[in-house]
Amino acid sequence: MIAGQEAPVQRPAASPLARPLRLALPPLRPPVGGTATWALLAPALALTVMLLIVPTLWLVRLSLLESGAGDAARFYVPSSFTLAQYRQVLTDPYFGAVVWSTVRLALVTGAVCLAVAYPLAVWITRARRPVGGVALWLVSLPKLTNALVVLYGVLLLLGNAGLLNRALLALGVIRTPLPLFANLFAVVTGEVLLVVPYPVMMVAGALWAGGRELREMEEAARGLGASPLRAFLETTFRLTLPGAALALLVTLVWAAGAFAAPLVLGNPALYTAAVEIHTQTFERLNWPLAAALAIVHLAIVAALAAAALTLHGRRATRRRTSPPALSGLSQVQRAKPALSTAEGCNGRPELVEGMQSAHNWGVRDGSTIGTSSGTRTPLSRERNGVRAAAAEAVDRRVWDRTLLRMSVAARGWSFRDRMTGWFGRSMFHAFALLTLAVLLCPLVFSLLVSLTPEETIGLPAPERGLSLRWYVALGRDPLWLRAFAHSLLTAAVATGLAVPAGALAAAGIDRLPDGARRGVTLLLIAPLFVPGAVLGLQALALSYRLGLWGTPYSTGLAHAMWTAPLAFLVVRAALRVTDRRLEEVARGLGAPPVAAFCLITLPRLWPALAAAAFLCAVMSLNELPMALFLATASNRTLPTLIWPQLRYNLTPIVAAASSVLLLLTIAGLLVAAVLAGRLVRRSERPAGAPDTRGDATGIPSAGVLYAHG
Amino acid sequence: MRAAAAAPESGPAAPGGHGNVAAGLRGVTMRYPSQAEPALRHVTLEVAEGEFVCLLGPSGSGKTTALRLIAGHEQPQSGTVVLGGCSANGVPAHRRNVGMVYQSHALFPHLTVAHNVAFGLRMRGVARAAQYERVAWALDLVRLGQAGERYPDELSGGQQQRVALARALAIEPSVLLLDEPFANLDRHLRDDMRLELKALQRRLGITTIFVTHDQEEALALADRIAILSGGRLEQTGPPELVYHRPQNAFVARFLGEMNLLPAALGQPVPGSGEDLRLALVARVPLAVRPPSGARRGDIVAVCLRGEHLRLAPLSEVSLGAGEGGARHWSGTIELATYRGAATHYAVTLEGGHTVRVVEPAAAPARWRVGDRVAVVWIAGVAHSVWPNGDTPRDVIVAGRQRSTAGEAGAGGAA
Ligand SMILES: Nc1ncnc2c1ncn2[C@@H]1O[C@H](COP(=O)(O)OP(=O)(O)O)[C@@H](O)[C@H]1O
Ligand SMILES: [Mg+2]
Repeated sequence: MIAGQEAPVQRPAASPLARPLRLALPPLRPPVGGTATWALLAPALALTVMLLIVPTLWLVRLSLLESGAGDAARFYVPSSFTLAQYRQVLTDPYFGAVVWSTVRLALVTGAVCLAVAYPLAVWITRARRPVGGVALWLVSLPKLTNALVVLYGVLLLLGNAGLLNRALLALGVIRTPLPLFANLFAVVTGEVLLVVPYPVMMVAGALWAGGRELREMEEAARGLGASPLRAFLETTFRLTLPGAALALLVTLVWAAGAFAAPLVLGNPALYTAAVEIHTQTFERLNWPLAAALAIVHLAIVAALAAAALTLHGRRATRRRTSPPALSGLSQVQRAKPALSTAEGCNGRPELVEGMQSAHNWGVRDGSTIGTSSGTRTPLSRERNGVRAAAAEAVDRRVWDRTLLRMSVAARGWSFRDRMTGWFGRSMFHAFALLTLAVLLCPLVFSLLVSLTPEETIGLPAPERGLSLRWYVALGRDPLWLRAFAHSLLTAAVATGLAVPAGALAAAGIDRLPDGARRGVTLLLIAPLFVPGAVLGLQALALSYRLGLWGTPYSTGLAHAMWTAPLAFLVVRAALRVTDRRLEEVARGLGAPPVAAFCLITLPRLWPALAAAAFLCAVMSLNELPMALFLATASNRTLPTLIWPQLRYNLTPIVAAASSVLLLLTIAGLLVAAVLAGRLVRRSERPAGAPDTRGDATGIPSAGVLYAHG
Repeated sequence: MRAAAAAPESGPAAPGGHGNVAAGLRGVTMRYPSQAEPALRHVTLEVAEGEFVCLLGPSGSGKTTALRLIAGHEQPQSGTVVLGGCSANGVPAHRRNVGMVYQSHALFPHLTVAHNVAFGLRMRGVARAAQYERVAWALDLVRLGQAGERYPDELSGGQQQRVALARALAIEPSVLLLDEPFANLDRHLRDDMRLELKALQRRLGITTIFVTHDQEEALALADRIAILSGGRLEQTGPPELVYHRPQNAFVARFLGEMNLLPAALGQPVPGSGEDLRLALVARVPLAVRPPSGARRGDIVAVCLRGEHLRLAPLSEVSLGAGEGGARHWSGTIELATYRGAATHYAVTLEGGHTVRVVEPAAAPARWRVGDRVAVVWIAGVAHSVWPNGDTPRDVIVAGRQRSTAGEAGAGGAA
């Protein structure tokens, strides 16, 4: 009635996650100056098109050529056309097994990752201030350091003579070593450790974005009688499922591209498409078959991604998740004539009176649910004592019906409540701490092993003390030193290209109209979703054609293309928390656009740019598959030198090399963290603006959410 | 006006004579782990069965914290949270049977309106048929009978807030807590919702604690008002009492347009029932009700409400009027603010103090800045408080201070 007058307020968002990570500040949209915008985007687009799209097309062409394998000088027969490669890939049971093991590994890894990542993310977002942040950094560390360090640690732990087996044997828990190695378990363990930081970041991002809204909803559920776990499941869990589906997407994509883990920890039956591409390229020298495999591999990844996206879409749009018990309710309600008689009554003096009798009507309806009472009289102005009494009776009756239950519920809290609460909390903390420990275990082990004074791999024995001899050996070996120099050069080239390109694109992207912005964003971050082996094969083919093959620039260029999305995401996140209205103020004070940007926004962006640079360098330093495809004697990077040693010739020098990479990474990350922290502190975040830690750590969780959310 | 200044009838600040303490805090101190200062200090607030209490205070004063303590989402460091006459310390939130309505309404976006309302019943294992009837009852109560199948984001802001209310009422809470429920609504809607809420509360007789920073809302709704500031409970009592007899300078300044002027207490005023004193307020003698324990010669802050002052041409008031005549000061208009129903003037008195005067729209004359006027005290006895309640500087520089305080009060009311 009275409220029937209210104008429909603009629709509030359905769920806090329907708009993940949206910032409180609207992005500044300067008038779209076509050429200027495209000029800003050009370098990044050029990188992507030149180094991703064109090579992909070339790969398609390559896959249709006849194989030149067998003839050692030729990788393919030019100017020929055949579908034989695809026929072989799709019909040969051998390749069928490869496809199956790829998909299986992706699915198992995805499931395990989500099962681990979701609770861990919940724990992180609910931990006290410094604890949660530190935990997030620790989680991101394995992903940002060299994958080989992690795998090496897993190898040390799980191998047949591994630490776990030895410890269990020594303790007498088992008699014969457990088969922990060279099987699916080992591969999944390794792959989960490599991939799990992404879903943790993304789910944590979703939880942070839901922030206060989610917390209040969960509290409301508890206030309505849901136990803590139940309240969590009914509200936060349900509402973050779309975010979890996105996390699953990323996990599947990365796990499907698994290359190093199956090779180091698995057996030939577990080799994935990525491994097979490498084998066909370098051992069989059958490039057309490798290209066909790469295309099929891309198709697998795309299919898995599409499946996860569908799940996400369903989760995000399907809302009829309520139990069906009450679904008939509104039909019954609708059978009643509308309570619209007093709709026009917005006058003030008779308001209270009118309202009261309206209430009485409402209650009378409540008592006669299901029978439509057609005898509605217009709003009567007099007090009707009988009616009021009847209303009161109904109030009492409806209340009494459940009164007993409720008061029992109110008194029913007990020792059991406390015990289950206490037990649940303890288990939760134990789980989180254990997971963190397992995540960091490989890193710690390879650090310790590098300090052993022995000739052989193993933890340094306490009585023999620690030694730096393997670091010294590393420093004396010209092979390692050259690889180190190549790594630095590669990283410098990659960073030098990726950061300017990514930053310019970040400055330009918000000036595009909506549709174009979405498309261009997807294109720009596409490299992050292409499996490493496919990128490697493309890079090989491209640099072969450009005549760059064998120089450090080939790897640098490939890494630039691959890390540019990262720079783009980090700078864009920074631009969004930087209040660009200040730029408007400067322009209002007479500064031309470029000057306003340079004088106001740029100084505040320096920390983000520096952080992006460090992250790109770190990623490039640690990248393996592309570098491996491009590696020749004259441009080996550190990871590509570690790689064969890891597989065939384990000495502690590998641990030392891995540790050098690890320490370099940590140093780089600390600098990046300090700079990012300065950025966040400087730009006072508006209340409710989501945390951008995910971006600051370089894990493109926010970016992925932006892209698909 | 005159009647308003007379002593309000109601007496004790303790919960009314209804009996049992339905909900409340006893000597509660609560500090958030990340905070250095406690959010609540030694707060005692007891709400009787069926009572409607408004918790009023500036933002950040700890109102939400108080509600969260009662709802069980926070635990006090010391003191007792009382529910149904017993201590509820340590009782988990889901066992308290407390209904809460949030400013952000916190409806579950993935559930229909009906399922939102049924949520608490489902958690209690209420049978389907009873749930059904109950939900219909609760939705009718807030006149959203037809909205059961819709989703919260398909409703307007006011409707969403009413669903939240229905959801809280459906579990028949022993106490209903509302945390600034109408703060996001536009003004007309807010007025309507207030009336509705009050009528509902009366009818159901449900114990209610309503948090707001809006003094008009508190004065309009409450059986009793509790004023919080900086985590301390400043005063509790019926609205009239708190409005007309503030216990300290903070409360006096917080509600309405109040001028506090310093004065020394003089001799007793004979012939009145109360202990009244004569005091020279900016050189004009007024009968003042002193704060408890005040003696002759003490400096107090005399409360002159803007509505109890009127402007008149200097020529019309006879200087040195007799005993029964109006008291007045002469001054200069500094500022005039048109507010529709009234015009607010800032007038600098000859002594240097600035006072705020609220002239009703029906007043005969309009004044302009710079006019010389007489400021007439039209109420009888003036209330007074200790000037050095929590901020002694208040009254020392009363002239300046007054205008800023007035501004703050006005801001809160708007
Ligand atoms: N979750 C929290 N953690 C830390 N401090 C808080 C939290 N919630 C509120 N506070 C602090 O406690 C004080 C009281 O807050 P609150 O009860 O929300 O005030 P109000 O509701 O009156 O605006 C404020 O100083 C606020 O900063
Ligand atoms: Mg509050």
